[in-house]
Parts: sequence; structure tokens; C-alpha cells
Amino acid sequence: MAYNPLADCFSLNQPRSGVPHDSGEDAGTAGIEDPARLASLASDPPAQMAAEPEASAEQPAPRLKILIADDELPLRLLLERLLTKWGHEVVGVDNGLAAWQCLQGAEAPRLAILDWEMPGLIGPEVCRKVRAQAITPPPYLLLLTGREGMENIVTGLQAGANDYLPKPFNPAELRVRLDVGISMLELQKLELASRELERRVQERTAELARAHADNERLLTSISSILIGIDPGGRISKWNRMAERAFAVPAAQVLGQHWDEVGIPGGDRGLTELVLDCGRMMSEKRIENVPYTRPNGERGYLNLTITPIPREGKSTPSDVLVLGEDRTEQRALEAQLVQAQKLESIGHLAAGIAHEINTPIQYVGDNVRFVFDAFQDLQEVLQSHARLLATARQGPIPTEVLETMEALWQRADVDYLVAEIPQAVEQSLEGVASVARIVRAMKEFSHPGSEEKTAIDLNRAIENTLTVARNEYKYVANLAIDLDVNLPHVPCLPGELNQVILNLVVNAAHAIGERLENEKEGKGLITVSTHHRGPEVEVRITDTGCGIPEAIRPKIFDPFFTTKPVGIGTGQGLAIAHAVIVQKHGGTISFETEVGKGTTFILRLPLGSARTQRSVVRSS
Amino acid sequence: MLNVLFVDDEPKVLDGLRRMLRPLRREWDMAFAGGGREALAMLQQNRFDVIVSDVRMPEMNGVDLLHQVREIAPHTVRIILTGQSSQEALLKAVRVAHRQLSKPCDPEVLREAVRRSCALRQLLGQSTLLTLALRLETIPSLPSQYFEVVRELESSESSLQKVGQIVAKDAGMSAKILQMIRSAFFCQRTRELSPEEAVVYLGAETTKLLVLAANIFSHFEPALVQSFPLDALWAHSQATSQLAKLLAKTEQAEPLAVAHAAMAGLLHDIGKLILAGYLPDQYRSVLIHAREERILLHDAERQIFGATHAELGAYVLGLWGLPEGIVEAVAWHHNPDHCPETAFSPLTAVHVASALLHEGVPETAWGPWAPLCNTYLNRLELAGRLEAWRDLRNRSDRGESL
Repeated sequence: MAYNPLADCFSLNQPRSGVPHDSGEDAGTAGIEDPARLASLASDPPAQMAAEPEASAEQPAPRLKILIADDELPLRLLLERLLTKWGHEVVGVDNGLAAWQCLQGAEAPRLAILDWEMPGLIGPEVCRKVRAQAITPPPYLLLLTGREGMENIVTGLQAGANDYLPKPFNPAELRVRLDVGISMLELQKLELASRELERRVQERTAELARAHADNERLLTSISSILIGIDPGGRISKWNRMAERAFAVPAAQVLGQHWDEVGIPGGDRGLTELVLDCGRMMSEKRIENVPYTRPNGERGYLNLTITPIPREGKSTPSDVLVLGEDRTEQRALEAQLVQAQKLESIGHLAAGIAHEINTPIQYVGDNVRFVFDAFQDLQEVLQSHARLLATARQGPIPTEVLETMEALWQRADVDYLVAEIPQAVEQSLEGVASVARIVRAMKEFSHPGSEEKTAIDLNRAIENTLTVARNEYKYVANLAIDLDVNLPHVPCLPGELNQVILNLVVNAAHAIGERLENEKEGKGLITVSTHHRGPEVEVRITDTGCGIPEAIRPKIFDPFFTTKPVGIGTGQGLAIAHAVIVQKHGGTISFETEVGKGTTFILRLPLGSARTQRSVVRSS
Repeated sequence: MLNVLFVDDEPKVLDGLRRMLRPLRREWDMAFAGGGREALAMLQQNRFDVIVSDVRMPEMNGVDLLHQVREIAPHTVRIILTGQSSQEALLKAVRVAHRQLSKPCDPEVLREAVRRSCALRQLLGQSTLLTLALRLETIPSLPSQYFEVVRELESSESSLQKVGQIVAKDAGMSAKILQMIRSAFFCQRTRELSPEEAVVYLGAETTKLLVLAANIFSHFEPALVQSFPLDALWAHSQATSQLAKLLAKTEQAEPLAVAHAAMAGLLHDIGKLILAGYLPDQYRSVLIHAREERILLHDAERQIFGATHAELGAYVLGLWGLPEGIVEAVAWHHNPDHCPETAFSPLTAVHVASALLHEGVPETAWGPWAPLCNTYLNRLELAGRLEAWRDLRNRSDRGESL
């Protein structure tokens, strides 16, 4: 049905029927003079409201708490009815003071329709007060104006009213003004929400900024070198350690291509690895990369190159290079190796002293013997000289012969003739023994070089066995089976000697332990070398007590030992493992049977004799 | 002829020894064994006077061997000849070996060691005293002295000086320390050290090990301290030592002789300690016998044991390698006339000091005191000095510093 505003005007004179727009009746004005009309309206609300339904049916009105302040009861009632019909909650008061109080309260109405002339406070006064108080949220104030005239209306609006509505009013017009008010309130709400949102965004931004700053601090303070490289090969991160290690500030380097920075020492291989890593998404690790420190000294780095996958893409990705300066550690390791070597030499020293003392003892004894024997022989020779002299002069008297014979007997010449050569021979052997031991000592304790050299492994083994002889000779016999055609093996001789020594000493101890229980004779240590294809194999076998199953996985662990406190540090096999596997790229394994014995097997690659300073491992 | 058995696992060493000792082939009957088992087998077959053995040998080491030798051949002198120098070896050997020599060994040293270990044996003959002397590991001390030494060593602020002082006053401890110091492990060619010096030289570590771990000292059972006047003996030994030293100095003896006089003075009655400690019952009856029969103690000893405390003491000291001068002085301090020398010697000093200190002192359970041997003094033409010597004794009695 079409909406006929005119038809909606109140007219107390004309009771309305159900078909308002057809009525075309005179709208008339709702005057305050005629309570009767109001009453009839009151009694027949549905008919009056009939004009509204369509509008309200199309748009459900938002529910508001609305204040009506008017001292004219009929008008107030009318308004109440209208508003309630439109779906609002209505509070009605008949004076300005009450209205003012109501608007101050906790659940104050969001919208108020205020009459101008009221007892207590007039409408504009209420408005003024509300605005002065700056009540929030600010209510929407509608002033009902009578015959006040335009200037007053302006005053009213200036006092703080949002809108005005002249009386008598058209319900439709009321409705429209109300809607405007409602929209304004909605807008207000939106504004508030928007401001709240803005505030939250600011908060979050601040948090993010803080988190970012923390991150940066973390990266800066990390004690490893951290270098970030984007897929284009340019440096995206360069932390403080990197600055210090390469003496290049971040500002200078960020955005530069990785190659141009010249890390470290310009080793081309590194660039390849970095690119590889990004492409293949695999982590790579390089150890002992030499570089020149800012102060000109030589340093060593361990680098780990890790790809950082980008979300959504698989390759290529950013790459993170984590570096550690290992220079000090390397120096310490070298010292440790030397210290251990000295320790083992010191330990061997007592045994070696004995090995040298023994030959010296009998060399001295033999030489004294030869000296004494010579005295005796001299007497015999002199008696011969006398005999000769006598014989020249004539017949030889028997006394002379008897004296000679006596001398001969006393000197026991036969014995001397048999013994002197042996004494001399054994003395020479003794001297050679001592020389051999001293030479073996010299070669054994020669400080190792950092670079691998190809050596005669058999000879090194023989030296070590000589030096260690005193450790095993009382408990075991030695059998050696060294391949004469063994090619030279590239290795670190000092450290390898140490390994062989440790294994031989262990073998001797194992046999010693077994003998303590069984008290039977001597054990056997067998050392053999074989050439097997690209490798050389060294086997050291003992007839000791064997390694119990329970501890087999642990024997290469550092500090693991089965010996009582004070004897041995448990480092021997751990060091052997490190030396053979890490420094030589070989393998160390063992076969063992409890009660029978153990064999340690070393395999060393022949490889090339070129010195290898680093070991590349990729995971 | 002495029967000497050499044991070493290195055949070349045995050959060398055999050749080197050839000049002695008329004095010694020598045998050579290549290891412990062989040596024991030979000991079963023959009687040996001395066994000289290496320590580190396969299958049976020297110390184990000597332990067994002590059981099956208690009359054999046990000497170690070794190239090892570790403390561990020392501690093991210390109680079972009479002498310890180190390789390489000077032949003279070896000859001397063997010879002296058997010198004076004839004095002890075949008596039980000989076996006792050879089995002896320690000479007991007064309990108070023993515990004082142990306490001092165990304390966290032990003073070696203090330890040395306690040792220097005790005959048993001194003898043992001197045996240690003569061992090749410590001291091969240094000058002779007094017990005090020896303790300091050995150092705290070693002294503790020797006393607390190896138990080279021991003490009398408290009961024995009563039945034998050991306190008096302890005091007398010290007094003799001081007076003998004084006499030697006064007679212008060589510094070494003075030192020997002092030592011999301390050790001269060590035989009594041994007998009281190891044969207490028999020795008690000897003492009773001496008093009842009114004979001198050493005569009673000879009657019952076949030898005197002087000879026993001297033999043990010789066996342990103490210097000849000391050993002689101890051996003959009761019958110095036996000794052929004609000049003032440590023996003279000890004999005179001991006798002078006994003069006028009441008799004790030790029986009548032995008097001065005037024939001896006359032979040496020293009788005239007695006056002066007595004066010295009196003055030192009074506590005058001299």
C-alpha cells in the first residue's frame, strides 16, 4: 500500500478504519486541547497505527531505549505507544529534571525526545546540561518545538539538541527523524569501534616492533658467526661476530654478493657449496677452513650451511651460514695430543730404562771379564815367551814346562778361549740393543706434523713395539707378520704411533689380567699388516680375557675405562677412534671372545698423499 | 766356599755375571737360574748361602720368589738386583730382601754385598740365631716411640725433622732406616747419612709409605716392656751414642769414624732388642740364669744360644748393609781384644763409652755389667786416657754441654 503521510496525521475527530490510505480524511492536527480525542485514540490504537505497519514490516527497527520527556500526558502516551509499536523500549517522564537524571544514569537511554516547555528544566536546558556533562556515549536529543519560532529553534539546536520536531507532528515525520537519530547512533558506534580497532592495531604494531628488535639483538649477540644469504646469493644477514671475524661492518656487506665479500680466504669451493645447499635443500658442514684473521694470523673455521625454506616455494631458498672459530681449539687439541704423547713416553720411560739397563749390565760384565781374562792370558803368553827364550838357549828344564802347564791350568785357557768370543759377541749385541731402543725412542717421540706423509708403516710398528717392549714382555710373547710389500701409507705418524702403542699396551694388560686369574705361562700378542686393495689393514691380537658383551658398545667412549681409579684415563681407545676415523678417514673395529682374546682391526685408506686439511661431511 | 745362586730371566745377564765373577770362582761356588721356578728347583737340591735375584721376571717375579725362598730356605741371604726403580717395586721388596742393588751393578758392589752378608756368620754358627737373623724383618721399638712416630707421620702438619729426631733415638728404627737408605732405590753413591738425615732425604712421601704402608717399624708388646728393662736400654743406647761420639772427637778421630762411633753406640745392644722381641721366653730364662749364676749376660747368651747379642746384632746390621765400621764396633764391643787393630776406632769408643756409663750404676735385670777390657786398652796404649774420659762422662752426666 502506498504511504500517504497526510492520511497519517492524527485526527481525533475521525476514528480511523482499517484502510487508512483510502480514507483521504482530513489529517488535522493532533492538538493538545482535546483530551477526548486522545482518549479515543488510546482506546483504539491498532486502527491509528494501521498506517505504519508496512514501513515497519519492511525494516525491523533497531531496539533502543528512548526517553520521552513531556508534561502533557496524552502526548506522552501517544509517543510511548508509537515508539513501542516501532519496537523500542520507552521511558516516560513528565519533567525536565527527571529527564536530566534519567540521562545521567547507568543504562541511560540512547535517544531522548524532549518537550520544550516542561516543569523543572526546559528541554534546551536539559540538552545544555547533557552536553556540558559530556555524557558518553552522547545521547541523541530530539527537541519537540511548539510555537517557538525559528530563533528559538536555533537556540535549542545550539544548546546541544541534535534535531527538532515541531508540534503538532506527523508520525511519519517523527519516524523519519527517529530513523535519522538511530542512524547517527549507529554511526557513533561504528566510530567508536573504529577507534578501538585503531588503538589495537597500534598496540600490535608496537609489540611487533619490540619482537623484531629482540630478534635483532639475539642475532647480534649470538657467539657464532651468522651470515644470511638470499637465493640471489646476496648477503641478507651479517651479525656482529661476522663483523669481528672478518673485520668488515655489516653496512658494507649487506646486499653485496657473497662472492664479492671474499670469505674466507677466497676459497672457491665454498661458493659452490653454498649454492648447492640452497638448491638441494641439504645441510652441509665444512671443518677447518683456513682464513686470515684481521690481525693477520691464521685461523680456522667450522662452517655449517643450512637452507631456510621459503614458504610456499621449494627451491631455491635462503641460506644460513653458521661459523665457529676453531683456532684456539685446534691449538689446544694439538697441545693435548702432544701432552698425551709425553705422558705415554713418561710412562714408558721406566720400562725403557730397564730395557737399556739390562744390556748395559752385561756389556759391562762381559768387558770386565775380557779384561780379567786378558790378564790371565798375558801371564800364559809371557810364560810362552820365556819358554821360547829358554828353548833358544838349550834344553828346556822340566820346571819351566811344569810352571807353564800350571799357569795354563790356572788360567783355564780352554775356558777362556771358548768364552771370550761369546762375551765379545754378546756385548756387541747388547750395544746394538741399546742403540735400537734409543733410535726407536727418537722416532717414536718425534713431534708429529700437521700434514700427512707417506710412511713405512711396518717400520713404525716395529719402533713402537721396541719402545713398548717392557710393557708386554713379561706377560706375552710377540709374533709379527708384516706384509713386506706394504705400500707406503699416508698418515700422521706421531698420532698413529700413539694408537698402536695404546692398543699394544691394552693387549698386554688384557693378557696380564687373564694371567692373574689363570697363572699359566705367557700369552701371545700378534701384530700383522696386510695390503687390501685401496686400504692397509693392521691387526693386533691378544690372548687376553676378551671384552664382555655388555661393554662392547662403550669401549670407544671417551673416559670409559674398566681399570681401577688412577690407572689409565680411559682415553686410549677414544683417541684411537678419533685419530683413525676422523683424521685418517679409516675404520677401527674389533673381534672379541670372552676368555679367548681380542683382535683390533685398523683400516687406513691409501688414498693420495696430497695433504688434506679438511673433512667435508654432508648430511 | 760360599754357595751363591743368581736368578735372572735374561740369559745374557746371567752369562755376563758368570764371566764377571770368574775371579771369585775360588771363593764362591756359583749357580745360575733362568727364572723363579728353576731357582726353587735348585734350592730344593742344594743349599745356597746367598740368592741374588732380578725382580721383573715373567711367570714369577723376584719378590714372590724371595718370599718362597724365605720359607723353604730360611738360612739363605736374599739380595735383589734390579733395573726397576718404581716405588711399587720398592715397597714390595722392602720386607723380604736383605739388600737391594740396582742394575747396572758395579761388580765391586756386588762382591761386597755378598761377602758382607755372610761375614760374621761363623760367629753365629748354625744356631737358631742365624735363622732368626735371616728371617728378621723389623726390630721392635718401645711402644711409646713407635706411636709417636706414627702419630707424627699421620698428622697433617707432620714435620720430618721431628720424625727424624724420634728415629735417631731408637736403635730399631735407626737400623731400619739405614738399611733403606743403603738400598739402591734411594741412594747409591752419596755419602753416609745419619738416621735423621736419612729421613729428611727420603722425604715425607716415602717415609710415610715405608712406615705406614710397608711397616718397617714395629713395637714391643706392652707386657714385654715390663719383663725386660727396655726403657733403661733405650736410655743407655742414647747415652752411649753421645759419649762415644764425644770420645771419638776428643781422640781426633776422622769425621767418618766419629759418625760411626755415634751410630755404633746407639746400635750396640740391638741384639738384646731382637732377642727380647723374638725369643722372649728363652731370653728371660737367659737373664735369670745370668743373675743366678752371677755371670755376665753375654756369657750366658753364648752358653744357651751359642752366640751373643753383640754378634747377633752385628750380623743383622751387616746383613742389612750398614757400614763395616759400625758392624765391627757392635760385634766386638764386649770383647774388643778379638779385634787386631791397634788404634783408636769406633769400637774403642763404643766399648769404653758403654762400660763407663755402666760404672757405678746399680744392676738391673740385664745382670752384672761388663767391665772395661784393660788388656785391650793397654795394647792400644790408651789406658792413660781413662781419667780424661771419665771426666768427660761425669761432665756430660751433669748436663754440661761439651
